Amino acid sequence: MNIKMTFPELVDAVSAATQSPKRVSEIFLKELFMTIADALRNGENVKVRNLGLFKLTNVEARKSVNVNTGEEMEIPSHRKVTFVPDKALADAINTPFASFDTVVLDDALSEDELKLMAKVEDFDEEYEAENKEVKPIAEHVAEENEPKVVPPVFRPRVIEEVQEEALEEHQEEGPEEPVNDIGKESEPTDAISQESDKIENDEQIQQIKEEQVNIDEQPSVASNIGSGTSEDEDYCIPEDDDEEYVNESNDSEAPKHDGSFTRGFIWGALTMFVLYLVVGGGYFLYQHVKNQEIIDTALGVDSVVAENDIATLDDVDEVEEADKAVKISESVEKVAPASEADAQPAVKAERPTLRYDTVTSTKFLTKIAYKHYGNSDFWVYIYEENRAKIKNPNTIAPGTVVVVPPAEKYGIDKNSKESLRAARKKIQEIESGK
Amino acid sequence: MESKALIDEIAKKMERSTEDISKLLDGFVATLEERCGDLDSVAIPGFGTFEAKKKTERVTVNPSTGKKMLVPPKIILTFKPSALLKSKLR
Repeated sequence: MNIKMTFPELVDAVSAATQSPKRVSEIFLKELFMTIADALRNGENVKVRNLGLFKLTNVEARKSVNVNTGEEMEIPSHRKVTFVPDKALADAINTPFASFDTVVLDDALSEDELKLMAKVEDFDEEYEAENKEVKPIAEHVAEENEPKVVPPVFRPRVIEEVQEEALEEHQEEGPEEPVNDIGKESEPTDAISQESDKIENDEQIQQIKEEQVNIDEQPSVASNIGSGTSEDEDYCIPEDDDEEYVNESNDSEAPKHDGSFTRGFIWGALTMFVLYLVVGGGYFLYQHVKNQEIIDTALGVDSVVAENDIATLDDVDEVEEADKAVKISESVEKVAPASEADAQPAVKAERPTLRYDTVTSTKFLTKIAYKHYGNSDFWVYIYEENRAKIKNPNTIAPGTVVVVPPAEKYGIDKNSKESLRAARKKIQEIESGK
Repeated sequence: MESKALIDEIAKKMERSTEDISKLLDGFVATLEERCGDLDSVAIPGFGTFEAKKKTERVTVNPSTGKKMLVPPKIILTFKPSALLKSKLR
């Protein structure tokens, strides 16, 4: 749209259309317009088949005023050229609107028209209100069911509920929840605990307690799992933390929007926060269990060595116990990857692959497209991607969150003329379809 | 000057058959149609610019009958002569 085709491009296009060498079509085009210009200069009208009529008209001399000096001056009479396109060509260009006819309006209709327009406005407002309530929230809280439906008034209670649920969850599923972080983060603590086990065998019982405390504290410092500190704090999340988190995400990702969207975003942020807590809590619990087992095994083996001389029957029992412990920890590890695949990537995968943006009263699809793809004409792909949400690309309620598809999905390339052309064709189709 | 005379003259200048020239002319018109159908413009240096413009719908009054009419939106092909062509014509 509104791209100026230059002469070399025109030459290329004509030679492609007629399968003739570029040199020939270039000379032809130059000759064509030179001949037309010459004929016009000689005072002839030029009619070109399928193209139209170049017509000369006389402009009579008229008086005018020089805008800068205020001097009166006379524009001498001269000729000018006007172009009347051929009927077939004009119709071909007008095809998108060819179906319309001139309609004779009744005199009384003007009032009806007003009513009709008022109705349309009402509808728009309704539509907007609808969207404000549901869409931004639904978008961000796709994983959690409760906040989607609940109106903002009940917010605090719902948070508590969600948190309680989360707690129950990681109390029940704790041992199975753990995350792939364990591979990396638990290594140092494991190593430490095993070492200390070997060295300080005698104070085992005390050691166990101490280590549990250590491990409770260690991951909270080392891990980057948000602001979850210790288990006790899960019950009552500190307000400051909460707000900080929300503010941060607001500042960084959505600088300006109306209230309803902010609410939606808060929900999204809270959900993420709660998820982090669940994951973090699961991780701590797993640490407990695993550590217990490691200590148990160590205990068993050590006591086997120690009691070896004294009692052989006990020995067998101990070994069996140790085996069991090892098996349990193995099975826990087996379960872990399965649940981890559900828990962690689901949280992370949402961000890098799909980007979101918000339509506001000053930022439409075109602006979003320009921001993400470098050319506003690519808005059509965003519309395509969000067809379910956007009924009419010209009237989108402010606050609507749209998915911005990755550029590769539609072959978007701002430097490629083909890509631009395809996008424009699509726009044309959509406009004519309306 | 009619279309036939124009084609003949170009054919004579380029020393090519009139069929070739009319084929090229058709190719040009087809290109113009395609581009202007996309609301693009085609600029020809020293001659002018062909441009498609969208006109919005409007209400007009028929002066003889006094009836109001709703004229639908349309896309029209316009030609804007270049300064060079204008000065040639003066």
